[in-house]
Amino acid sequence: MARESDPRRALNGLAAAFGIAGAVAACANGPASAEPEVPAVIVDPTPQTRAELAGVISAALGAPVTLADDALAGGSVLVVERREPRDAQGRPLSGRSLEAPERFRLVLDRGRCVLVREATDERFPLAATCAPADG
Amino acid sequence: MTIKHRPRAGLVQGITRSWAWLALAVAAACGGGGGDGPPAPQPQGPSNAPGAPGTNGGWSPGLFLPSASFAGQCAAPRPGTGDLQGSVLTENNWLRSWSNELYLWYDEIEDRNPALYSTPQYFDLLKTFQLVNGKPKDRFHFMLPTEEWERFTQSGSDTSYGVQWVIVRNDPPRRVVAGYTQPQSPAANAGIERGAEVLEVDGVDLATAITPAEVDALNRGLFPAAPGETHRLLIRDRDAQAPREVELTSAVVTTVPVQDVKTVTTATGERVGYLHFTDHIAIAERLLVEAVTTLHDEGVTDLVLDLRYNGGGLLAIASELAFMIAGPGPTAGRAFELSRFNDKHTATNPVTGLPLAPTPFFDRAIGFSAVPGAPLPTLNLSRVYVITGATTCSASESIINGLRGVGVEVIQIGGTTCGKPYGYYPRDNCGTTYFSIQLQAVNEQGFGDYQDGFSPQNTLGADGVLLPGCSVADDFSKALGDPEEARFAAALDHRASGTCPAPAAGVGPSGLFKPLDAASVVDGVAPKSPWLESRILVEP
Repeated sequence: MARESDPRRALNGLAAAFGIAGAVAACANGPASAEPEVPAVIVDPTPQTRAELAGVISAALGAPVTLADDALAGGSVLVVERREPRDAQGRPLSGRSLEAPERFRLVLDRGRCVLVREATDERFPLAATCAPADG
Repeated sequence: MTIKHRPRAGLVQGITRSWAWLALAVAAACGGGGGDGPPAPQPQGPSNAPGAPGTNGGWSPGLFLPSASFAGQCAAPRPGTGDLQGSVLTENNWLRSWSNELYLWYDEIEDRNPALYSTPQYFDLLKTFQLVNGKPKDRFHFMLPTEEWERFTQSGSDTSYGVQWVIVRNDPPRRVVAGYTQPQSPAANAGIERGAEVLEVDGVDLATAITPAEVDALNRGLFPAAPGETHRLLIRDRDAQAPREVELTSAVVTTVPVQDVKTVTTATGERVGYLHFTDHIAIAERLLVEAVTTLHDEGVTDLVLDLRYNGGGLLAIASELAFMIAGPGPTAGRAFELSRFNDKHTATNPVTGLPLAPTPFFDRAIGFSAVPGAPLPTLNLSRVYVITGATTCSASESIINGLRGVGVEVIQIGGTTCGKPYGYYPRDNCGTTYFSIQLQAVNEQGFGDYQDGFSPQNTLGADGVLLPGCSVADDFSKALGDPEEARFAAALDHRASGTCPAPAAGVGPSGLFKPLDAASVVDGVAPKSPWLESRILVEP
């Protein structure tokens, strides 16, 4: 069917923008778990851990994603946004984007490495080895 | 590629209204039954009965069924989607109705029989062909495969060497130089810096390549498509006499969109800040907060904001940066930007269904990459110097227009900006995503008529909006942020004396994208990945 491009990520002014902050704050409450989860990073990333991470995020977004080699190895938050095509002069096709990027955060939840999509609070267990993030 | 692009901006004359005036206009529109209801057949001239059989395949000029009645009816339905079996005609009918509902200049589209065209041909016709100042009014009409639009990346990460090439001249004798590099990238590790000029790519002479095969080789070597590609470039470094050969291997490089943050102390002891901002991407939010905090702590009383290679991106980041420059005084409760749709949608955003409301000057971090809700630092400046060029576009132009809308003086140094006060909600139908201009962005004063760009006031032959400042060519002989780099130096000189150097030929709007005289010192184009044209450099 015809559809708007990612209407979930569309911002419309102040209310929607603060909605993002609100959603982030809400997700910060974490899951209903007796043990608090902690921000985490991937330890010794490998091609396999990167592939797993890319696969999980691609499945969540329903589209391919390009990640840096050190994704979630240096920090617990990963921001994903549209790989915006460029026009004939090299400028972003949209250039005035109202879409909100997607934020994912990595946590250790009862010893398991879990990727959390902040906009939806979806949780994706990972096989990668994680450690608590500094700070 | 199916990408199409076109025109220049439409002049909506006389938009100098206050928001109070606009609010009254909106209220009147709503009270009168408004134009925000569901689309209905709309006679626009001579018409047949809607849907009448005959040689027109049901087409009745000037009568439009709702686009929803044709949506997703595809000549080639995509497996696993909600697509239904349709035809080229149903796809064209969807485009026809959708454009009539949402295109900013819908009443300038000539209604043509959708049965007579392929879908790409028909989309290409669904726009205004009017000229403004002798140039197409709509230069931004695109379509591309949805699978190419629906691709994502970790903010700032993409395949490249980590060098931003600037195409100074795109036909023989071609000229490509390095504009800037990314830290710790393959290019930086190879010692490539701003001003390095490319002489050969994999043995092909860049200046004189003529055949398609040669030009393809140049494109493949300069703009690698995937990580791990290795190419050999012959370059001449800035200030070097002899060329040298470098071997570059592409990788997933992380862009640092805020670079060269520094403070210059003038002869009179005043402190002037400088920052180079290249991309309105999510990770820029945190870096801009850090940069402005640094400049604030260093006590700057003026700022030179370098947007010469910034083609836009997230509008909210433009708003945040504008607030950080101006502070709360002139911005509190005022609009950074407002979207205006066509006259059928004066009160409600027709895509989101939300009431039309301005984008404010955000005074707290949205949280793209900075701490959500954190107060933003401010410089509280009543004026700002902005360095611009042909690549300066969209959200970058919004910074200029948004600040001017609340009385902040913007002094422009460099070349004419691209002139794109427009936006879209890209829309998929049957596997193609369409970009058809749906809104014009205006500032607090209701101004958005900068379709020919912003130009420094002494620009030769400028058609656009003239701003105080100086026309100065890009200077590849110095590093960005070097107080002797011509554009930065002009800003500092203008600040000290109010004067400009003689304007450079080739920096005017007509000299930006057409072949340039070999002798011109010019403002190049800075293509960034992913590039929609299959070929960036072209044969003559």
